[in-house]
Amino acid sequence: MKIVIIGGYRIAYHLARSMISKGYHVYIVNRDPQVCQELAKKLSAIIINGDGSKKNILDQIEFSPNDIVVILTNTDRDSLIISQMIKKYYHVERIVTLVNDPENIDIFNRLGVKVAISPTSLLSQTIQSLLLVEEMEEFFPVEEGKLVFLRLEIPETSPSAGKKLRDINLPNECIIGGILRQNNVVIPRGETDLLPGDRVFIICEPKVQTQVIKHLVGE
Amino acid sequence: MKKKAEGLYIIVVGCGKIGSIVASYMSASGNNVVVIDNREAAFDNLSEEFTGFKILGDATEIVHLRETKIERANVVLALTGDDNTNFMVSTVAKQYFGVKEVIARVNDPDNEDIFREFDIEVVSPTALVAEKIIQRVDAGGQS
Repeated sequence: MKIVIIGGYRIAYHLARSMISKGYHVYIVNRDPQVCQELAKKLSAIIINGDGSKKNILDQIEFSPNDIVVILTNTDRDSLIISQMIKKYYHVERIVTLVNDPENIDIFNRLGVKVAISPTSLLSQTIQSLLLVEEMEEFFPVEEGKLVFLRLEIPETSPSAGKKLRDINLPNECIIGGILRQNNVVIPRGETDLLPGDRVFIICEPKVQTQVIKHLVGE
Repeated sequence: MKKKAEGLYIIVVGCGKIGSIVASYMSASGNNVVVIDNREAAFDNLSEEFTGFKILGDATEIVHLRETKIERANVVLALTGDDNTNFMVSTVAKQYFGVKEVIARVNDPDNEDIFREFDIEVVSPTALVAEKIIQRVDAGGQS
């Protein structure tokens, strides 16, 4: 099994270095000859200089179906054709793609790229969570941001403090997974009282996260 | 093209030399044509008979592609000079928006197979020109 990194410069370098240190065979394809020279000096990887969206360049890599391919080009159109060629011609299924336009994630998924990561949407979600409230202690998006984990501390001023969970009008698209109260774990039930100082662990859909925070923390 | 009487809804992606000729002709012969290109100057290539819509934007961004009302299109023609753009536009039109007829210009003959894998009709300027030249040379050799 090998790891093939197509495109990218800095991410390609750091990713390759970390994979090599873990003992994997790494191949890098980059169309910039200077980048290739520099990477060749620094890494013990096989470096191929050429356009990764061209079949004759990809043919130089002896793909086997259990390889992992990471596509890091700057433009989604290049990444899309590369991902499709790799699937159709070499039957590689494990493809990770960087997607620049978050709206394209769905397209990549629909065309069989299971892992499509959009730094744009990850960053914007993280920024939004910073903008929300300071009581938010942790924010962790999964599945390309379709699901969000939150950890909140319930302030004295919370409209929900002192109420039973069943009396708090939380949206259906969220669930309270656990409560940490003075270092003890409380598994939440309908009759559990929510107290100021509780650390609450929530799983929710991103569309309701603002609403959830409003209920548990206040404006 | 049976529905000639009502005209087809045709989206032309790329308004360069080839795209503009096709769009102008299709528009002049009674179809509803929308052209999209990310260079404003490209629209100058269109003939005076062109009566369709022009959309300024990158067709590989879905926001812009949606502006063309692509889901209603009878035909999508991906005619830019960049194969990767044409591939993305074509597969999105076909697989995502369900457009029945998608035709793409493919400049690099090595790329033709991957387009065909996705049921996209391919027109290759490179192969057409090469064929013509070979025909001429062969014909010349015989006479």
